[in-house]
Amino acid sequence: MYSNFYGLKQDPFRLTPDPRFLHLAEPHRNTLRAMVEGVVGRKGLQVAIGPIGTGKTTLLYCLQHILSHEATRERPLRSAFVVNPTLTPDELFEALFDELEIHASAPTKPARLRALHELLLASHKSNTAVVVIIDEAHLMPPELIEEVRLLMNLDNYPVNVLQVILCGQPELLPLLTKPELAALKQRISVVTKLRALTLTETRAYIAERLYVAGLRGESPFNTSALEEVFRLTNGVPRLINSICDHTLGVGFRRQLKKVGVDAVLEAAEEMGWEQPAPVASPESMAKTAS
Amino acid sequence: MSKFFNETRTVRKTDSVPATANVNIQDLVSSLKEHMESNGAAASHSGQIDLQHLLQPLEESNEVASQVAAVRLENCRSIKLPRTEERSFLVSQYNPAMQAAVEAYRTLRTRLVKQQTRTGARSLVITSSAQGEGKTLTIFNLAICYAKIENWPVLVVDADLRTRGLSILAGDPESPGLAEILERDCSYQSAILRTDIPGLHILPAGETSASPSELFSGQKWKEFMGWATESFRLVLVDSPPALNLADFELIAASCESVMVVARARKTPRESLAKVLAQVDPRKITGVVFNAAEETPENGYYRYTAKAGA
Repeated sequence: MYSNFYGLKQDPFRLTPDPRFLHLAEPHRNTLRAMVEGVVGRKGLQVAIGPIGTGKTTLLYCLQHILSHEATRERPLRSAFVVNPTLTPDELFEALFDELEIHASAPTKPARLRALHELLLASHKSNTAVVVIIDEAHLMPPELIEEVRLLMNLDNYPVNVLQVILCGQPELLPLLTKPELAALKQRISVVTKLRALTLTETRAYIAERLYVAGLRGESPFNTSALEEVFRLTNGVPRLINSICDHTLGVGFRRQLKKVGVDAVLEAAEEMGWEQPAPVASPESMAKTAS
Repeated sequence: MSKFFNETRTVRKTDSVPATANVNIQDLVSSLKEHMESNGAAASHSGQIDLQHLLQPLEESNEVASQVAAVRLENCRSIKLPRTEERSFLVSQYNPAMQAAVEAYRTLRTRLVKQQTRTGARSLVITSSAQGEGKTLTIFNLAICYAKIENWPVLVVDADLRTRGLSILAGDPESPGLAEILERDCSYQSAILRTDIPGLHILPAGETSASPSELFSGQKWKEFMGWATESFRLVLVDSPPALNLADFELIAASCESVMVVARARKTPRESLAKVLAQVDPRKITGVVFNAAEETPENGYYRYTAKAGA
């Protein structure tokens, strides 16, 4: 709508939904890199934490997409993505089998374990990994976390075949330090932490998205507009995208080559935003940063 | 489909790209995909996972960050940095006697990169308690170390408008510089210089008859730092000494982190304490202990990160 007016070739804040090519902000790129390196380095169990709204789920989808490109017909990479882990152990198995596209000969635990064994053996032979990603892992009941540990016990190969990524809010880490989960905690080899963007990262992210969209001249946002975007979004990328998109829409309607605070506030009003976006409390951010 | 499974989404291992209105990005996707697939085929033959190939989309994103700076400064002036300055890393890297110093700068860079990743700070101002403690040389060599990281564009700003030490070290380029940006509406592109070290840009001090404190108290300094930090992954600012001058506090107000240089056997402990007390504790990144005696235990230079920074 406004792209031509601002000298852009496409909508900068509505890029392709394929996350592999979505331009991520710098902290997210760093976290994703650590996760990919963890899987490729066969680290076994990874834990990723980040406060609400910092883009954890988007990142996990990116991870799955990136990893899917390791797969070939000869060497398929199986991955499972569980987003709602408030399940019974039986339901978790069912979800995993469905996602991993494997079938047990009977709906019993021994049959399931046998099927998993076979999958791990086949993956070991073809030198690939089986990736299990569990989102919102802070919501997992302890008995389900224990089930994940037992799953990992199946993996007795010299190089870890099973790669588990537990992702959740910062309270996941204290959850894993409970004495009854000590055995699982010992297996954690990578901990990645995601945080919201700072003001300068927010500005850089906006500048980079505009560049990807074809901007070669001056930014259409003035300094105070960018500061207002940061204030309203608290550095949450998804919210930055929506407010910037709406702000440029407002700017186009008013034929403003340079948008200021007024346009940002008008956009926020259009979107029904009254207060700065709810994100993590400073305490949980501090925990994440530490 | 089970009751929970509608919450469990799968990414199918196909190459289909969802329909989108963005035609150009689609082209980009196709070309990248072709490239990745050809690499992928090669990787599968070897039976090993090609990490580089998997990380390529992220590398492409990192390149975007450096392209932003390059495009914004497309028409800026270029300078060749002098190679005669004996203390400069530019020559010392070929001098075996200075290898310990080179190594110390690299260590400093590594620790700063780690902190930057954690805090997200893109601007760092370096100060000291008095003149001659080595901040300009530290900043210059640190910048050269940073510029060696791929896709990590660095801008060094000479904000010491009184002594202009960094500008002189860089061969004293002609104006305009920072003073002209702050005093008049001089464009950033006409003041910033591209150096012959890839990824390293310098903003010299420029010339002014106005009081530096007045220049830094205006909105233009804040505006400039905002622009610089969104264009460069690191903006290093060389400031005047922190004690007895108002400049430093005004400069530091628009910077996200502060590093203090102290010189062995020169900086009085009390002066260092005074400087540190003057800085916002949340911004203190660390203290560089410069020109320490070389012993097996401590290198030529030492860097200590401040606890709780």
